Amino acid sequence: MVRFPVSALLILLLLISATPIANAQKVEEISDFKVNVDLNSKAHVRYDITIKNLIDKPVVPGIGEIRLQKVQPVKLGFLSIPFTEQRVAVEVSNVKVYSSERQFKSSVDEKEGYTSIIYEIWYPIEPGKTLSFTVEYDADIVDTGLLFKTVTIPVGTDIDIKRVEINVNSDWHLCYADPKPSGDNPLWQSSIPAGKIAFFTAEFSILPLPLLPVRGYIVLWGALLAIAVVLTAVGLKRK
Amino acid sequence: MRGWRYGKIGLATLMMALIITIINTSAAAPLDISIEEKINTTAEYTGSGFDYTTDVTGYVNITNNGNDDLYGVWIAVDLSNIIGTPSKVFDNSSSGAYLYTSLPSGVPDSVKKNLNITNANYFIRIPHLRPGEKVSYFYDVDDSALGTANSAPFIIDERYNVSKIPANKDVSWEVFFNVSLNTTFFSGIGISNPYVDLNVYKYLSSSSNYYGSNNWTSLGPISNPSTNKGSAVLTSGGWGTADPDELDVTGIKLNTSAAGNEDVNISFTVQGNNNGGNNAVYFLDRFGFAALEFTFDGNVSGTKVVDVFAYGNASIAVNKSGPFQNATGEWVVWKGNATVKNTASGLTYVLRNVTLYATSTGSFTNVIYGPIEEKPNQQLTSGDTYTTSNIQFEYSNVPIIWANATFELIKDTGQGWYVNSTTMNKYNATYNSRYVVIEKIYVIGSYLIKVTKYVQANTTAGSNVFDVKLVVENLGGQDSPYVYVYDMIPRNFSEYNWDNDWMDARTDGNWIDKPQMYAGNGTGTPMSGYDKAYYWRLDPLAGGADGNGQASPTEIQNNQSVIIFYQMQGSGEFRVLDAFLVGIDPMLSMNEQTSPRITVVSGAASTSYESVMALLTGIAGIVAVMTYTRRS
Repeated sequence: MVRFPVSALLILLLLISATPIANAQKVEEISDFKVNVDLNSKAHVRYDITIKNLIDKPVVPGIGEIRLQKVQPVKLGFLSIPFTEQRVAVEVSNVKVYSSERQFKSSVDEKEGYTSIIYEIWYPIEPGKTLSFTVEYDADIVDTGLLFKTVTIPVGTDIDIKRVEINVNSDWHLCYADPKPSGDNPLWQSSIPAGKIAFFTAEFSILPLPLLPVRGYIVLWGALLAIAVVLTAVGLKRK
Repeated sequence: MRGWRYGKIGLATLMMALIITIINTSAAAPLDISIEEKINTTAEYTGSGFDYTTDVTGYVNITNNGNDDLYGVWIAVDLSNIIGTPSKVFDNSSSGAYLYTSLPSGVPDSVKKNLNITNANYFIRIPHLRPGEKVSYFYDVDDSALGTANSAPFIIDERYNVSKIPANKDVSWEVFFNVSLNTTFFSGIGISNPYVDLNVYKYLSSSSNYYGSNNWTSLGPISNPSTNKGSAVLTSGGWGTADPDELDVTGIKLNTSAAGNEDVNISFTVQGNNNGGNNAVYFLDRFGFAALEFTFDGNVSGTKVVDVFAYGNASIAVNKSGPFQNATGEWVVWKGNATVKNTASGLTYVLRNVTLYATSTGSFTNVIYGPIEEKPNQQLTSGDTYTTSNIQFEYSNVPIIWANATFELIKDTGQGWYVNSTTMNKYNATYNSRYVVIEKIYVIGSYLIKVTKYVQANTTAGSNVFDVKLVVENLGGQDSPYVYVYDMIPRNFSEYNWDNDWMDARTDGNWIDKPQMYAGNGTGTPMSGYDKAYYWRLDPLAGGADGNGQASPTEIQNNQSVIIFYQMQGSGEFRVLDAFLVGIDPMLSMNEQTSPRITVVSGAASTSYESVMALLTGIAGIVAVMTYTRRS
């Protein structure tokens, strides 16, 4: 079950609501949206997008936009300070927009609070037909700790996504996933209606942990913390 | 001696009249019952069609429209598709009116026997209804249960000669307003052949209080009215900024009896200037509304008057004669009959029965003969009488002969009771009707690009050579971003006299008239039926072009318009018609093939506080070690 968290949704919906959503007949939909994230020091993100023309006239996608925003707490050195979340632009590099036949013009524009990848596709899609293209970029979206690294990916658009597949690859061990994975590759399959944002979280550990029902770092560090507290208590008692 | 005296009395035919009925006046007195349902509909344009919200309410009105008093009025009504219980909203009757959900126990036998109550769930009783008096009951129709809550009797189709208008500019657009009968709605309420009288009142409105928008700095006048049914008159409504801002089309008759009768086509031209709603990129804005005033026979809820029982003025007289001698010579034989007379001036009754019986003089409960009942089932118009057959019996004393009669109004438009069922719009004193159609048009708040393509044979240039001219204009109030124009060359055509330099204006077969506006071009993948696809990138166009498809030298000079020109030559079986295709940057264009900009939102959310947990664990570990160290 894909969840649409309310608080985070309110934040990121601002990105969608800032765009004009016509009340008219649906012209297009994203019939297939594959997201693949490779977790290195910077994540390498790849979108394979298929747009379908839903009307009886040819349409040109024209200018499209991918808005990237990162929600993160304030950091004091390596420490993340709880309850200090802020919205910032995502540092993006190596952007490419292409199909099997050609490269498409693209540019990156850093706005206040988010980053825009603008691409232009000036090729008509005939009625009922589709057009597929790929967007790739590197971005600093990985939340890396001592023994764990986590990525939480929001996905949403202003048109319907009929089928979304999301996969996250890492050499580390997958120890937590939300929503519950529907398979190994892709991790998740779903659909997302226009105007909604779904969140997908994957946590990997350098330790060979199994897939856990709760966050791995809480289990591990929580257990160690409990042991330390018990040892402290026992030590004080022996005094 | 006693027998002689009795004989004298009998010969004199003593008439004992028991006048049952009351004063009467004159003239026709039909009992009028009307079922009147009122439709309150809001139809609002969504950008692709109209959403309908409908609420139907109804009235059962009982009126004495004649000149005779009416008595004992009972009305059995089938009100099965309503919410709650009907409520009395008007009553000036002499006796008051009463509502029951079943016939009460005290109802006279004459009513019980003659009133059909099949499927009736409400009963209205009015003991006395004088001429001119009226009783009204209100009910609320269960629109959801009937499936009419999001439907309506009319389908609205409204189109414009332009799909969008620019903001901050005086513009005019032609409106094509079509109202057609919703045959699905009518068949759903059991009316297979509706006949509808319709008036359409079209108002421009720059007031948000009256289905308009405050964004209009000017709105009106309406001009060039036209209709294919009824008559169109321009007048002043009061919610536009320039008169005439109201168009009344009256006298429209719609029905399904013949093709073309089902709808009315109204067109008119509107002028206005919209300030763009704080420079929104584009939005759907209200520019007025139409109020539909209509009436048709029948009702939406299926309410029926099952039957009516009522009567008016009449008289009944008993004739008694006797005593006469019987076979043995005794003076004990008595005879009698009754005469019923319709004394109303304008009512016709059906005489259901007359009953005669005799009692002793001392005790009226001591029936000595009868009852004898006749069932004439005969109509009595005003002044008509009916006399029963004689009864005859023997009684040694003087008897009293009694008679009573049951009669009721006939079902008749002129002489009795009648039911009319009518449905109409809910009335509004300000704009005539609460059947309201809210009209909207897309307003481009910033810029609006229009491209017009001309294809013309150029015989002087060569055989089958055609000049293609693309006129690109910015009708909006602001500068556009870079504009992309795309075009495709049909199969069996080829470029003619091209040197692929688009900046050498008017020198060969491919150029842009103002080289400074050229910002690049390229090729794309054509659709099937086309050999080549091109696009051109133009520098931002200044707003303010007139949008007439003709780039004037002034507009070109001001960068408001640009002409892209090329020549192509056909060979083999070429189809010039295929050349009539052109496209522009789909955002904010006048063309239909608009593709909204697709925006994908993604990124990351940091949800791990591992560093905090690790720090806390480290501190706890150090404390534990210190504890053990001190102990040792």
